[in-house]
Amino acid sequence: MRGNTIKGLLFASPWLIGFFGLTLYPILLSGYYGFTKFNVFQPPEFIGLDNYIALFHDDLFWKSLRNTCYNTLIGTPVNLVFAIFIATLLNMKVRGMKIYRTVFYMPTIVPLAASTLLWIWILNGQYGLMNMLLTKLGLYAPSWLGDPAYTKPSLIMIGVWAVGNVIVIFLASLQDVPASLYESAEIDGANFMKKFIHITLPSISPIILFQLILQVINGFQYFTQAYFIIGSSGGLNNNLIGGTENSLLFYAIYLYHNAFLYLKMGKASAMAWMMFVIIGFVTWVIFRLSKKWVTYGGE
Amino acid sequence: MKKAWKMTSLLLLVALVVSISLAGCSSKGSTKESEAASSAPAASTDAAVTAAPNKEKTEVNFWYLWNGKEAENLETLISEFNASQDLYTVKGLSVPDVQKIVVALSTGNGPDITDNFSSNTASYADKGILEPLDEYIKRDNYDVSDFIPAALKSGQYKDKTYALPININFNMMFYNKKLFADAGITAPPKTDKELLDAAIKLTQVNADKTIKVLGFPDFPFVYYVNPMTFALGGELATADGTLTPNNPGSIAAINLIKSYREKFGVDNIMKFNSSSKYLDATDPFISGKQAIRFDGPWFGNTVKNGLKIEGLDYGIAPLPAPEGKPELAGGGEIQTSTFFIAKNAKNKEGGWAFLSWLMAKPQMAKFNSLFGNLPARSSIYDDPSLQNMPDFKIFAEAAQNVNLKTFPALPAQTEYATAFSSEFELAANGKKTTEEAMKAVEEKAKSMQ
Repeated sequence: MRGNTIKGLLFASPWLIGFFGLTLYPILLSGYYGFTKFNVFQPPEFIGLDNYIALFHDDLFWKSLRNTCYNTLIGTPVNLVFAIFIATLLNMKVRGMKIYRTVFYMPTIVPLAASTLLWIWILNGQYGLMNMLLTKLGLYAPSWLGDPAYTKPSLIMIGVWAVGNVIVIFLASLQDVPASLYESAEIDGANFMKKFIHITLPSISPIILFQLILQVINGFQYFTQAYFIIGSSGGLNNNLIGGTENSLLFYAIYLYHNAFLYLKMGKASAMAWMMFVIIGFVTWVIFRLSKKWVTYGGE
Repeated sequence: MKKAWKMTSLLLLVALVVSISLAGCSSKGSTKESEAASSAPAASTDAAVTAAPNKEKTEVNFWYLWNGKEAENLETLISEFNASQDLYTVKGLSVPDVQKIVVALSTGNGPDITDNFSSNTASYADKGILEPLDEYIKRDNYDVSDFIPAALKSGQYKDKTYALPININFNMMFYNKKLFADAGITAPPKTDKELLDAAIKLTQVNADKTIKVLGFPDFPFVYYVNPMTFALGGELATADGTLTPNNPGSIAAINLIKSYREKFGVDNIMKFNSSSKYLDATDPFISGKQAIRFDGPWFGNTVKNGLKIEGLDYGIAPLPAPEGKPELAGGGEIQTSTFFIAKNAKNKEGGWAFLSWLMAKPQMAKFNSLFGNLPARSSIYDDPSLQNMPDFKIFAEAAQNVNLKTFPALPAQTEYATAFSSEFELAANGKKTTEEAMKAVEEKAKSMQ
């Protein structure tokens, strides 16, 4: 028995070493750094809660949190509704469905950097495809990535374009809904909308919950696309690190600047832990509320 | 029961996702601790004296921020150095990402020698990243007497030399001669007031009020902020390091661009700027859609020799001075590109050998002729290789002006510059009044000193 325990631990050791040494230890250490003044090059100096207090007085911290919440609170529902809508369409029995499914999944396999650069061109205020169309239709053509009122909606739009992986999972769950339920509803005279609201949505609600949580977490950690757009608008040794009027200064981007531009690793660690607490809290709230709307097939 | 199990597994998943991404941030932080200890033993200066010719060449790792054509130029110089002596082999690597270099330096696996902008000297020196060079300079009797004083200063912090500048740069006013002639303007504006008047005349708008030709040096915005503040007599910090963002120069610079933006609509200007990319197919000055541009000594070289664009007819003049204060004419901000040896370098002697070679007169002249920049040593300005560089003579002459200033060396310089630029932008766009914006920077600056 004891031999087996040791063998078992040995077999699990690559993961155990990886988890304790490369994941848990650094996480705990970053928690400690959050209470220090640490510039990466010199030993950390304990300063208690100063980093956290300084964050509360830092208007860029609040700005970055607001920007992040905006994109998460608006981007997540938009992504989910769009994904469910497309998945429902892709679940219909139409000729050439395989092609449609491929088309909607394709954006997901384009590397983020490449697709973002592409979007920067599409959304170019003067030479972009989008504004060419809008102008032809006689509509207002904003500077999508320059005007602070439009930068975040632009990012949400770019995000919606690449929800292929969400669609695929919804599609799989839609195909899992028992056909017998629809049949009996049809016998009772339910139309398409009624079936969708009373059968489809409850049946896939656990998947919606799962996607909701993933999207919220990803939303709070939003980084790559905004980072590229900020970089491309300056492309210089640039002091404007958050896009026009800091409208693209997301939480993770500000954290990154503090860590690697200002070398304030202590403040950055404090920010990371704040984010951890925020994500934890939001997830907890979602779970609490989910009891009201998520139904599991087993009950 | 089943439900509880599902809840738990979902919770576990959430914890996993969060922890993976947290680990992504923090694992970078953790590796640095070991370095802090290893970098403590300082430069052993006597190791240098014994550097007798070895049979084996030792390796010197040199990372640089340049890439593309400029990296090729640098590699040419590196192979010249490697052929010139038999002690060291310099291995060059293009790393156009400051953050990457910083992280590598912090782990002790970084380069022996690398380059940066003068704005980071104080910050890096303060954190102990840079090897002081005074001992090497003294030991080798290395001549730094002909460096332009402001340039040499940009590599110093608290009376110690931490980095040597290879070039100096500052912005001048480039103007499109054809657009000037079309607008009936015969001479480039000399004061801020003249600049605004000329810019308004030069600006052309489309039927829908969007900008067709930008008259004001509004793009790239970052090339306006500091240079114009300095040119209008603004001093962002006093010599003793007190940060003074709220000064007449910055207020005048903001109000000037604000007047222009208000006249033609902030959103129209924003659309114009955000659609343009610097030194690219969409660069408005290159395509004749910008009449006035603030830019550096590399501009002409990049356009003529890099992008191979012919027929762009432009003139160059000093930045405008404040109205009624001609004694401030020709001002601006001097910055330099600097090279430094890492404090935790494995081959400091090799680093110094390469650094001192690169900074010697012939190499510095060659470097700048390839890069289209102004040398940091004043004694090589008549070097023949530099004379054919586009715009060299105009910039060389302007470089003599005493009104060109450097930013005092402060550890918080990057953060301060960022705060200043963002508030400057808010005021220029009319989101805050000029006074509110500068007061806000002043407030933030208090915690940076």
